[in-house]
Amino acid sequence: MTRWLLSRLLWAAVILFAVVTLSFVLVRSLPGGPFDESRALDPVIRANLMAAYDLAAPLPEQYARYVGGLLHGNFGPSLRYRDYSVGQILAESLPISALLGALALLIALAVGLTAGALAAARRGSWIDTGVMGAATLGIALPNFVLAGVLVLLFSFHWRLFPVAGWGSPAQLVLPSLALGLPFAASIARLFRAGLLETFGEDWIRTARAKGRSPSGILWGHAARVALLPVVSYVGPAAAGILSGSLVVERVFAISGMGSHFVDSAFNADYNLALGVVIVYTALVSGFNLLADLAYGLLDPRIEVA
Amino acid sequence: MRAERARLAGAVLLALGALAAVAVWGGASLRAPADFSFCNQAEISSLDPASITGVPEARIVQALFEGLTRQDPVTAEALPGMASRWTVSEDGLSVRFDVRSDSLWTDGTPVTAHDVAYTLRRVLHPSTAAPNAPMLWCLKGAFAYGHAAAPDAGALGVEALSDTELVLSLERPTPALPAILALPFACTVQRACVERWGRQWIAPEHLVTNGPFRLVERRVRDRLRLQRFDGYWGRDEVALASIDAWAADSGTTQVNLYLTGSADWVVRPPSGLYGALLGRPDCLRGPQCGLTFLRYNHERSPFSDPSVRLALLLALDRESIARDVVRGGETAADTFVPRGMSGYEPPLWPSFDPARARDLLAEAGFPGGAGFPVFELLHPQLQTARDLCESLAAQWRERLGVRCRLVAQPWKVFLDSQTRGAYDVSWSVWTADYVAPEAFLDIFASESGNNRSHFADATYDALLGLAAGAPDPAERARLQARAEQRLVDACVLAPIFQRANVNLVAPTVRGFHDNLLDVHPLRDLSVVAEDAP
Repeated sequence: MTRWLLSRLLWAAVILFAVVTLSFVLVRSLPGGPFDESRALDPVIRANLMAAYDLAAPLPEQYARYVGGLLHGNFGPSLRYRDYSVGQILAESLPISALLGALALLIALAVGLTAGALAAARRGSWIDTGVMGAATLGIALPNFVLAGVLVLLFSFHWRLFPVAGWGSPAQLVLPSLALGLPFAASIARLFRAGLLETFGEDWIRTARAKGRSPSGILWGHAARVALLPVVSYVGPAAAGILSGSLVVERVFAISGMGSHFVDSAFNADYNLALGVVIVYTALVSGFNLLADLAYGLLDPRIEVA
Repeated sequence: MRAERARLAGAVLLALGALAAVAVWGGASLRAPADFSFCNQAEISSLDPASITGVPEARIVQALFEGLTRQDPVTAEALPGMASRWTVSEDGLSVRFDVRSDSLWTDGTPVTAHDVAYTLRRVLHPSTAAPNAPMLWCLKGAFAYGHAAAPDAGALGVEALSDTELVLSLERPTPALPAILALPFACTVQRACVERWGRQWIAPEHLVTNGPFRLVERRVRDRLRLQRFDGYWGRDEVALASIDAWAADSGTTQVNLYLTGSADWVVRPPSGLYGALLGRPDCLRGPQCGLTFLRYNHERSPFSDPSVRLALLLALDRESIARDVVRGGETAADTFVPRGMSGYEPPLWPSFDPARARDLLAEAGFPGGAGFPVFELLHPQLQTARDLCESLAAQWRERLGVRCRLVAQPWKVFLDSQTRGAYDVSWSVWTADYVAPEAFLDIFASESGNNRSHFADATYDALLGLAAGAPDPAERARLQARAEQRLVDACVLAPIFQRANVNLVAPTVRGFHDNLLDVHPLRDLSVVAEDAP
């Protein structure tokens, strides 16, 4: 187990290094620079700015210095938000994305598992048709449409929640729903399919013969196995929720990492773009590792070592 | 079974604990609303006056800092700021400022002329790399100072005679100097603070300011909270006790915040919502000192031919473009330097004439558009720019039989392409920092980095040089108009429309005036009760 874990961590480090190198080359080969503005800069001022932000040296030298900085936990200064270092920006925005993502994931799991179980328990009924219809709609709807509908209903029509912003509990509700509900739809479909497959197994019939109640069979026996596909989905989905929050963050004016993910590239903010990519790579690797670990815990037949 | 339940309960507790930890880490906190909130369009790039170039930054910097002069909320012209008055020498080459003795920094120390002198030297110093430093090259010795390996402050025309007296010596008479000094880049910074903290002086815990407001809180890409500063000389004129500036960059979100009462001012709502917004009494519109125009690449054939450039301009119905495509109250441009500058009468550009356009194109060797190459019309990835360019392409195709391909690029890539001259015809915008013809005319000087068209005319440059040195305003304006006539004669560019200000302003806001620069100093705004007249 320890050896397996160490080998996975080593591979994660290799992947991270490759991602940093590739991203560095890609981001620096984009046309347009961080100091290109509508008003042209005097050539001497531009040269001084490039030198001040360590962009004047040859690329390999800059790369070596950048990687050296990373090893000391220094992501460099932001080239767009010049009063901040990339480390400061990540430290401010990552907790916001993490909270938003955690709430969205919670909603996705709570709604998805409940709906999936209901549909499986009442297979073929109007409940099953309704839940699966809603789930298909949830998967098909892009989250900016869902966000717009939520704002229209809950902010303009019923005036229950604020349209945007971050800081109060009320401001968490709509963005978490907009981000979490499409994932809930996928979870519901997966869980339903998993349960229906498990219901046909011999050991479930044995449990029924022993007199266990339908709910006991569902949650005590079948759910545990039916959760396996959900778990393997939730790992990457958690990373997807974090990195896919761009639209939701924009619609609700939330200062998380999703917006930096795209805007830093458009702003030619090389250091911020790389910093965000590094964090996301680490998160995706971490969530996948956790999913593999959970797999072993849920199903004793699977060994992680 | 019991073990199962215990494990389940443990998992739930663990999840809740993790959530609580994230909630604390996330810093979710409640906050009382400010007196006045507005959408500042974007997260600002910096609070350092010397570093900034954008409009969102200007709004905040001018609330936190003040220079020798400030902008009039009604006319956008220069008003006394940290200087209570100024006198210009007879030859126009020296300006003496009386610096107020009754204004404080937020650390309680008085603002002095020495701070102002330090600020101007800092802006010009090469190590600061201030993008707007060229605006101060009118100061004596400033260009050499900014380009020297070891700058000599003694040779610079900036001298503090005492705590309250400052003299600026000039290379040439500069009537626009008070307006230039009112711009955010010239806002006074405290020498002690900058020298003590170095690049960290701008951190909220170190920042010392002298403007009408002080910084209370700054959350990147979220909000800035400002609070009235009682050490400011004009504190009695400042009505708002607190201000929130939202960094929301989505136009729709800004309008949502406004419509639900969370914001009192939205700048330039998205054009897609014009249908619902322009008719409202709280949607204020007016002319802006800005122009949307087309650049021709003079180095590429056939745009090196003035007849072709003129033919393309004459084929455009600019009235219908302004009315039906842009729709925000913009007016068809018949001048390059926008109208509205007192003392300057810009020469007129030819108006819509498709028949003459066809004749000119035929004379240039392209009758009915035959043989005219399919060219690229470059524009940034902005909805408004795309709408405009689609309309231009359709008009050229219909009236001249020429075809163009639209090339949309992200903003920075677009600027890079324009600067490298990698285009045939390009969408362009220019807005003035201060109201003066040279703010427009200078961009087509041969050596200007803003030229980007490869246009070079020695006579044009000479006229601009003569105008810059002319002490008499009427003579200056006459020379400038002659220079602009050179642009018209060679049809160097194609003016499309004079830009317009569009602001959504809550009916409870007072002190908001439309002006050519679309500047609305926060110090001059106030908010009244809903039922006030």
